[in-house]
Amino acid sequence: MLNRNIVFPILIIVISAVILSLIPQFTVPVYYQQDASVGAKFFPTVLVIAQIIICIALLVQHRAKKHKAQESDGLFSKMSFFGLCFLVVYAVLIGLLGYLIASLTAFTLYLAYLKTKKLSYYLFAYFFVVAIYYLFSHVFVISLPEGIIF
Amino acid sequence: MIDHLFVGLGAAFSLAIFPVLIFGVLGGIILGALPGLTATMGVAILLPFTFGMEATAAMVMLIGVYIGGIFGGSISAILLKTPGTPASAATVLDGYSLTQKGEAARALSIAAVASFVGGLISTIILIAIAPMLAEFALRFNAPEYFALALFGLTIIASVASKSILKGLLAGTIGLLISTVGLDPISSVPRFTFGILDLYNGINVIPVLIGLFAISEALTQLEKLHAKEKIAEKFSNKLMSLKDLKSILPTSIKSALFGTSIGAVPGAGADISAFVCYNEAKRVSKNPEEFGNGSIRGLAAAEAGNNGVTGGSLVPLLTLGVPGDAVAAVLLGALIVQGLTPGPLLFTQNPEIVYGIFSSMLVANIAMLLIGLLGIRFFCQISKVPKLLMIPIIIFLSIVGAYAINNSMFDVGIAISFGVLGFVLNKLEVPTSPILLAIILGPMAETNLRKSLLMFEGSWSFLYERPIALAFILLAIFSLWSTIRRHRKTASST
Repeated sequence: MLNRNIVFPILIIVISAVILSLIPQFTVPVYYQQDASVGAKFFPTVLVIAQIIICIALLVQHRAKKHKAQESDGLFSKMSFFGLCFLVVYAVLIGLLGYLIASLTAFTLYLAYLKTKKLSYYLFAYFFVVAIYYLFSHVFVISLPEGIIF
Repeated sequence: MIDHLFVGLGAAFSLAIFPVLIFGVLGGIILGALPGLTATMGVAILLPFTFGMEATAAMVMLIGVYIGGIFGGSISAILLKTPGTPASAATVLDGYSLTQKGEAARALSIAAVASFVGGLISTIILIAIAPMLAEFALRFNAPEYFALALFGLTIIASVASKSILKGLLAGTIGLLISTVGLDPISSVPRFTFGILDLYNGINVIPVLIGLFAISEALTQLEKLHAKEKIAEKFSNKLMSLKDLKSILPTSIKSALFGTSIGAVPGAGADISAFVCYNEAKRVSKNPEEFGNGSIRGLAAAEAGNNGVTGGSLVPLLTLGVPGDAVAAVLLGALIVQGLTPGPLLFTQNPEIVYGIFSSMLVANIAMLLIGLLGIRFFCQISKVPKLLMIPIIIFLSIVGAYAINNSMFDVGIAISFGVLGFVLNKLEVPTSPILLAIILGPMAETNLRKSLLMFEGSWSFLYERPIALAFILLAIFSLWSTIRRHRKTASST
């Protein structure tokens, strides 16, 4: 049975093979090829080969230890998947609405999704968002994301 | 020298300078604690405020920000697993473990004391032997930098507590990520796929925000159940006298290491913290405690990163060469004040130089006092329910990632690395080696290739240059002792 300890190294080996195929496509200038013994391709090539060797060693080590297939949960639970979606939605909202409105909206949606009824939590959330906005934009004069719409 | 120092101390406590110094340290702590805002950024942000100031007051304020900023980064690293600055990345390893055990106040007090020891010793060395240290640092050329980076990379094996192979894999992932962008010698685009934002490479700050903060937020969210919405209780106990005795030798040693590393141009507080952490773990009788809330590990990282504060000023003040980004901003501040850094500064403007030295001593004391007095206040963060803390971490992370370059691309990088960190945590692959490799990778590659160009393709620089050879031997020794320790642990379990 396949488990994480087998799938992950194989996945890295496949990615490494793809990277290895990309390395020859680097456009190295002709003058440089004449002068240097080690060029732009050297480091990535060594690293990718090392990565493949390490992954093979991990597979061998796993086989040697005769690990039983772990009965573990999936990589993403319902909550972590929600967190991931929240991150992406927040990043998109920030691009559209700017920091202040996006953060107020995202915090409200987050608390509503988790069925929070405490008013104090909502008030704290709004205070925090506005405080950070004030601190960055007015005290430190650091620009925060501005949206396309606002 | 002593006369100048006393005059400087008098100036540091004067009504014109002391409030400015406190403002600088406090501002630095606040800025450093905010993810994404580094000590360098803090000094740069406050630089325009100094244009109208008298030279000594201006430099004192900026140095206060620098010292406070390096310490400030550890507050969020300890409490939220979100390093405020790259210099605090090593602090997370043990600092956050202590917070999880309900010992946030103890961790913060240890961080404050170790930072103070690191900063104080570094300043004393700066005052005493700055010119000699500068001469040593100037002997560093490409082969020495490569060897130093190689030595730093051996730490990967050390921080990979469970599996060296998985640690090495994480290290190669980080090194590979560090090759993205224009290659440092011949400007060949590598893995850029025509995306302009990738030409400058991947910035380390969104990576660390993603790997530590966002991935932690996702992990916490997963653990969030109805009964766990309120943060667990924690102890208000500060460090004990026993703790102090335990961390003092490590702190002093790390301070010395940090000062030496800081004096080498290009090697900053982030590298120093990891090197000192590794060294403390290597010589420890209980290395298994490291990564699980070791107070020595925390002290080593903190004394190591604050030890850089004095060291980095050595080449700046003695030679006019900025050793790192903060020193470059300080160089700008000196020039704005009409001063020329270098050997002549000591003879032409001793009041400025010794004013800076004395203020550094006072700034470190101020940092200690503010750090200790503020612990109760900082710890309130731990009382915030996790339900609220998770989006707070996410918002601060996104804002911090954006603030570096005003770029949504960096926000995307932070989110991507957040997901990567979350997945790797589940696979029991350590994430610290990725960060370490991204920091040290460009240094290793650039200097290896420069060395090969200098030696016309010969690898003899590895054994012909004494300092480089010393670092390589240290790297081999460090790797050997780590592997031996792992074998011992494996055979005993």
